[in-house]
This record gives sequence, C-alpha cells and structure tokens, in this order.
Amino acid sequence: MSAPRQGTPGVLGMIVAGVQGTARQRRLAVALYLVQLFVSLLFLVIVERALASTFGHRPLFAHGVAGNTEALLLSFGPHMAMTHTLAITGMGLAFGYLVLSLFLTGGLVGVFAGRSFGDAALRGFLPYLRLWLWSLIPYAVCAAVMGIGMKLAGGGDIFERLISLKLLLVRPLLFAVPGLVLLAITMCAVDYARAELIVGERRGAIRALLGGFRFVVRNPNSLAHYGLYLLFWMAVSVLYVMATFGHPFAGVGGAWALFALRQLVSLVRFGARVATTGGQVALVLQASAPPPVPSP
Amino acid sequence: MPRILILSCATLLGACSVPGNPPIGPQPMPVADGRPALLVDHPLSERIASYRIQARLDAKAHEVTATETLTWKHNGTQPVEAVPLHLYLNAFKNETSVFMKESHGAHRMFARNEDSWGWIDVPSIQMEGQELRPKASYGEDETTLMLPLAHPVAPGETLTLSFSFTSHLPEVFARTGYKGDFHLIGQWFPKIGVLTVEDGAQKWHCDTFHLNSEFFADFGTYDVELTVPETHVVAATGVLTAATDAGAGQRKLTYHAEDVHDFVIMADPFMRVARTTARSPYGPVEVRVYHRPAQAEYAARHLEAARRTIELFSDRFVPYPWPIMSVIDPPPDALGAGGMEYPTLVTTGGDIDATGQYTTEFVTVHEVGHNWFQGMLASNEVDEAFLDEGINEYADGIVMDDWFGPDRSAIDTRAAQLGYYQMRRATTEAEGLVSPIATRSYEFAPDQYSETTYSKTAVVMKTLENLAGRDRFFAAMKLYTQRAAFHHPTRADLFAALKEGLGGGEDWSSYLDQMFLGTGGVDFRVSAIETKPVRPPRGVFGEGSAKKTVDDKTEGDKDQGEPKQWRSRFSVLSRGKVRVPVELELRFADGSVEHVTWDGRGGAKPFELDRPSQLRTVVVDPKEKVPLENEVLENSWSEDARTGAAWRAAARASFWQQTLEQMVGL
Repeated sequence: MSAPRQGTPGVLGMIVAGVQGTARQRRLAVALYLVQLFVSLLFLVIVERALASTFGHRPLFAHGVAGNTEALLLSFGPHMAMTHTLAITGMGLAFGYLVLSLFLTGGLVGVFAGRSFGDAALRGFLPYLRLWLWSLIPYAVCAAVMGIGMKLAGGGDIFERLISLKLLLVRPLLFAVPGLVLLAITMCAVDYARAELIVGERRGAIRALLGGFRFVVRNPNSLAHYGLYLLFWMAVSVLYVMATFGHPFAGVGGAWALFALRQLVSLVRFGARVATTGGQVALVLQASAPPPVPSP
Repeated sequence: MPRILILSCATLLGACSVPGNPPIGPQPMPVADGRPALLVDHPLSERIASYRIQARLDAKAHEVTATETLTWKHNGTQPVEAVPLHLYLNAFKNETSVFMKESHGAHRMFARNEDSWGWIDVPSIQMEGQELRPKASYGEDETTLMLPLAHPVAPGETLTLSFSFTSHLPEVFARTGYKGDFHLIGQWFPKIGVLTVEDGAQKWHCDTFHLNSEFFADFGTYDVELTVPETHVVAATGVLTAATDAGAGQRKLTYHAEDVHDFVIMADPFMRVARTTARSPYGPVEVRVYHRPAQAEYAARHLEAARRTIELFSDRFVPYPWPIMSVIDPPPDALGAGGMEYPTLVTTGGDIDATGQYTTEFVTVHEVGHNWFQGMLASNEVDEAFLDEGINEYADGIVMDDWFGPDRSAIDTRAAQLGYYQMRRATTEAEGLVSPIATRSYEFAPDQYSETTYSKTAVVMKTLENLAGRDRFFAAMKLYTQRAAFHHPTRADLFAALKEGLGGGEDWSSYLDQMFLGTGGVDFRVSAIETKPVRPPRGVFGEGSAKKTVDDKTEGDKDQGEPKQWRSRFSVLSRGKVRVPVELELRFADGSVEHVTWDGRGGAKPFELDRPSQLRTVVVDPKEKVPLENEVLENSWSEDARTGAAWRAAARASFWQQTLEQMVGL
C-alpha cells in the first residue's frame, strides 16, 4: 500500500463517495442487511419459543415483561439455566454471523472496487479468515492497554471509588482512553487491510495487516473518517436508548412501533457501516492508482 | 494548544482524584453534653454488670492501656465460684483462634492485613486485693477466660473485680480496629459473661468468639475516662460529662452511659459532625453523623435515616430512651468497621454514588434499628441471631417502605422499581436453606447464615404480618418489645407474645414452629385447567321397565348450542414444608371473579366447579400475602396462553443480539 497521493479524497470526499456508492449498491446493501436481520430474527424465534413454552400459561411473566421488576425476577429466578442457554445461543449466532461477515464483507468491498460480489467474496474469504485470526493479536494488545489503564485508574479501595461517580466511572474511562484509541486504530487498520486484500489482490494476511496499520498512520483522513463513523454509530445508539428508556410502548401497537424503531436504528447503523466501507475502498483505490501521466 | 491540552487533562484527572484530608491539628475542646444518660428518671434494666474504666489511647501504636473495675450483681440461684470473661480482641491474635480458623482472615468483603494482629493482654485481675490472674485459664481459645474467684459469691451478693489490661488493635477488617488515623475501638475490654437461670438451673453464657456469632452481655452502667490525643475527634457510647486538658497534647474525656451492655469508642482526626434532632416519646434525641470531608454529601442521608428510624421504631415498638445517637460513617478504606451496632453508637456504610438505590439509607436504618433489637431487647446473638438480625431486618422494611413507598424502597429507577420486601423475597430461596432459622450462629451450613438469619427471617415475619393483618401484627410486636426491652428475650418470649397478641382462631403455634424451627418454605403450584360443558351423565339408569339408556344419540341434540354450565377442574399443590392457608382467585371467561380459601393442609387440593362460564385463570395468593413462597411463577395458570409477552421479550433480546452482530461483523 502506498502513501497518499495528491488528489486522494478528504474525509468529506470519502463520506460522499461512500454514500454515493451505497446509493448505487442499495439493493446489495438491503440484501446484506436482510442477511443480518435473518440471523437476529432466528434468535428472536428461538427465544420466543423458549419463553412461550416456559411462561406461556403463567401470567406472572406477562406482568414482568409489562414492567413489574419483582415479577420478572420471580419468573426468571427458577429458570436461570434457560436464560444462560439463550444467552450462549445469542452469542453463538453472533459468532456465526462474524464468520459469515468475512464472506459478505469481501463481496461488498469487491463490488465497491468494481468486481463481482461472488468472486470477491469467495476469493477473499480465506484471506479474511486469516486476517481475522492475526488481528486477534493487536486486539489483545488493545485489551491489555485498556486493562492496564483501568487498573491504574482503579488503584486503591473499591469503596473509595464507590462514594463518587467521578472516581468510579469517569476516571477509569479517562484512563481507558489510550486503549480505546488503540482499538479504534486497530479496527480501522483491519478495515484497510481487508480493502487491500481485495483491491490489491494480496494473499498475505500478515502483510495486509501491517500494511493496514501503515496506511492509517500515513493517511490521517482514514482515521478521522473511521472515527466519525464510530461517533455516528454511538450517537444513534445513545439516541435510541434515550428515546426508549423507561417508556413502556404498551399494547400491540406499541410493540410494533418499538420493533420498527429498533429496525430503523439497526438499518441506519448498518447503512453507515456500508457507506464507511465504500469510503475506505474509494481511498484505497485512489491511493493505489498509478500517478497521472503529465500531458505533453 | 498542547499546553492547553495538558492543563485540561491535568484538571480533569485532578477532579477525579481522591479528595485528601486537611493537615492534622488540635481539635476544639469538646463541650460536655449536659444531658443525663437516660431520657427517663428511673433505671430501665437490672444493671447486672457495670464498668468503670480509665483508658489511654496511643493513636500511633493503635493501643489502649487501661484499668477497669467490674461490678457484677449475682442474680442467680446458686453460689458462683468462677466467672467466665470475654477477651474478644484475642480473636485477632493469631491463626489458631476459632474466629481466624472459621473466617480464613476475611469478614464480609474485607480481608485481613497479613502483617496486622490484635490482642488483649490482661496481666492482672484482682478480687478484694487478691491477684487471681495466675489461676485463670483460657477456654476453647483465648477469646474466653475462666476466672476462679477468691471465694464463692452467693446469690444476691455483688462481685467486684479490678483489671489492668492493654488492647492492641488490629488493622480493621471485622468491626474493630484502625485504618490509618481512624480508630473504631470495639470489644476492647474484659467483659463478664451472662448468667441465666433456665428451668431452675443456673447457666453461664460466654461463648468462644466465632465468625458469625456476635455478642451477648448484661445491662449496666459505664463510666469511662478516656485520654486521647487532642488532634482526634472522639465519639463514644453514652454522654460526655466532662472534657479537660490532660497536658502533653492529650485530653481527658469522661463518658457516662446507663442501661447499656457495651461501650465503643471512635477516634479520628478528620471527622466532622452533622446533627439533627429526632423525637422520642421520652424527649428529643440528638442525632449525630461523624463523617470525613469526602463523605459530606452522605451525611444528610444518614441523618434522615437515623431520625426516621428512631421516630418510627419508638412509635411501633418501645421509645428510644437515650439522649444521643451517634452514627459513624467510616472512611471507605476502613469499611470493615462499618455496618455494626453498639448502644447509642453505630457504624454505617453504603456510601454509593448511584441514583435509584437506597443502600446508604438502608445501612443506617439497619444499624440504628439494632438499638432496639439487641440494644434494648438484648437477645443472645450467638444462640439466636435471628432475634436481633432477622427481626431487625424485617422491621427496617417498615421504615424503608414508609419513606420511599412499598414498591420502590429498594430500587427506584426509570427502568426498574423494587420494594424492600420484594427484594428479600426474590433473593431468598427458602427451600435451599438446610438449617432452621433458630440455629446457633456458628452451626449453620456454610454460607447460609446470612440468607437464613437476615433474609428468610424478614420474609417469614412479613408473611406472618400479612396473614395476621398489619395492625394486629404490629400490636403483637409491640407487646413483645415492651415485655422484652432491657431483658434477654429468647424465641420462647417472641412466640408467646405473638401467640398472645395475635390471638384469633389461627394455629399460630404451628406456623411459628414450621417457619422458625423447621426448614424450607411455602411452595404452591397450580395445575392446568380442564374445562368442559356440563351434560347429563351417560349410561343406563333405572331398573325394569324404567330402565333408560342415556347416550350421545339420545342427548346429542341437547348438547348443541352454547352450554348452560361448564365444569372446570384444577388442582393446587402445596409442595413446601411450610403449610399456610391461602386465597385463590378464579377468573372466568365472562369476566366474573371468585375468591376461595384453602387451608393449605394435606399437600394437594382438587377443585371442581360448575359455573355458567369457563374458568380461564387461577391465581394462588393473588394479594401476595405469602412472600415465603418459593416459586411464585407456578402460583398461577391461565388457559389463555399469553404469547405476546414472550414475543415482546424475545424482540428485545433479538435487538441487542443484532447490535452484537453489528459490533463483531458487517
């Protein structure tokens, strides 16, 4: 991967390129979202069946879901094993989606780079898998840096920190910032490594990963662009929590409205992810394009 | 720019650092309280064991050097030739003490400093000038000492013993000790056991100090002269009667207490005091909260909790009889001293900066409440811990519910609310507790002492209150507390007062025995409902020419159309070891509701009802009168399967699972 060339898009240019690319590939984006939705709906059905068979004839559970905390505790109390099983199932499905995402992301990057989805997805899957495995090392480093920061922040007695929210939460968060920044850089570098594996047709996952780090260091715009995506993702999530926290969304109409709102939130976040990938591919394409030949 | 950034970060980190304490300097000379030790003008107890102590605190060495004169009235039936003494502080002397062996050097959430030990040296014990110490012998460990007397003491006579001793405090992890400059000096002096007469026989109670056992002592008066550094703020049991300069940077503080059974001291150079007044029927009570500057914002909450407890408990039970209540909020690193009760002085804790929970208030309510349940009703905490911890835990809920409301007195956030008793119900699994509530504190199954003694007792008491009715139960509890105050009540006293106070036709003896002396809890389960139309019985009826066959062929037409009657069948099982009467709510398809009562005996009860409408839902204990119930989920059955709730819960889980997918994948 080369250093930025003159004429590579800035952050705004990357956003525009990503949005335009997503608009052009909207049917593909919707199809990919439906894949994600399918996995989560599969989990929904599994959970519903488990809950209905356990609690369907027990009015206490309905009181709990309607907001009665005690009823909820008393309902789940004797069925913690089922709760744990469902949680593990949810995480298992998420892991399955992660593996599937390696395939889907390869295809998406390929499409943004002007290739066919299937070809790029198939050719990219194994390199992406290797890249994911190698990326666990820098992720572990990020976790260690975060852990060290929070340990430094949490020095002393837990009860000293409990008396003040500043000491309990703000301070550890401040001390976790280096680790979080490192994590964002790593995630961004992995994204560019993926793009390079498809665009540059490289097959070496380690070289691609190192190249990804080199690229984001040499292209500050790539980091700013990715940082904006993360901020947007978090902002949408926080807005959702603020809009729904403590509101009952009662009745069948309320339940459907909540479902629709959740899907809107998920769709917006997913759209941002796709557009970000589009912007990243545009930057990589520009950066790896041959220098323009001066006209005679 | 970088400079601004560095300054901003430094400011932010500075704001998030632990606030420090001001430099140590002399405190203003304390002013005597100027109030009598009791709000009434007559003794409230027999004053069996009284103490005069002259003590000096070496705050740097964390050591108290003292002399003590014990005056003990023999109220038994036989001459006494030896007396047992508590030397509690020796629990922290080495790893061979019973306390250390049982605790492995940890108490609640706090672990021992490996380099710190605590002990009490008692080189001299004299009776009428005669040295007795060489004849004394330790019990199971060095936390008790049996002292043969110079001569027997006859019933009605008074024994006077003179001690000299040194108490070396451990770094605090279990109630008593120091941490930095903070000192909580408890269980620090030689204390005589309690002599009772049971079934005509005289018996000493002076148990080895165990991990889960607390204390038991006779009431008396305490006169304590305490020499402390002038740099330290001091709080202690009773009232301060004099404060004088003792020279060399020392002060002599004189305390007097009446009708108490323990004496504790707090000394710390950084404490500030917040004050309010509570009203007891005997007169105003000055409530003080001692706190470090960093914990100032919690002081008002502790004050209010203490005030409410004093006023409500004085009204519900017996009036608070002392003029002062001191609440010590230990510094966070000395929280091992927190959450402990002494007469007129308690230590609190629970300073948590989070909205929607009342841990801060609850800890103070609980500890102040102990001034009734053990402070005044001085039950044996070793043998029957539920009489103070459990009954107090139940009574605390009265204050918390009155203050915050019964549905949000434990958790009160926008997303979730939970009442005090609801919380205890949800966290008590009575069926899994293998020891009865009435078990010696050191004989519980591992890790079951707290849940059984505190939570289950509170749930049992709430169940009894619900079964009896609030007013009747409060009246019975008032009878118990009035009879037992300033005595040593046992469970027999509690049961007798409850049975007498509750009266009525219910079998209270059976309930009390099941709940306190047995194990397990209540466990109802309602079966599925079978409903079908009522139709004429089929078969052959009559004889001879009157013989008639009734079958679907002859009756089929009549069965057409909407049935006039429906027969509904269901069963209720009582699977728990505790059997109590219970109400059932029956809801029919036409919206009608019926209530029936089952006495809960016999293990199972089949129900068969003929009604014009189908029975759709059965709810056992609809008013939730029996919080001792284990699996409330099975208390109800509805034929109308409510899948809506399952869909709603599943949709929520699915959204967060999808969020996880977005975090790890595309």
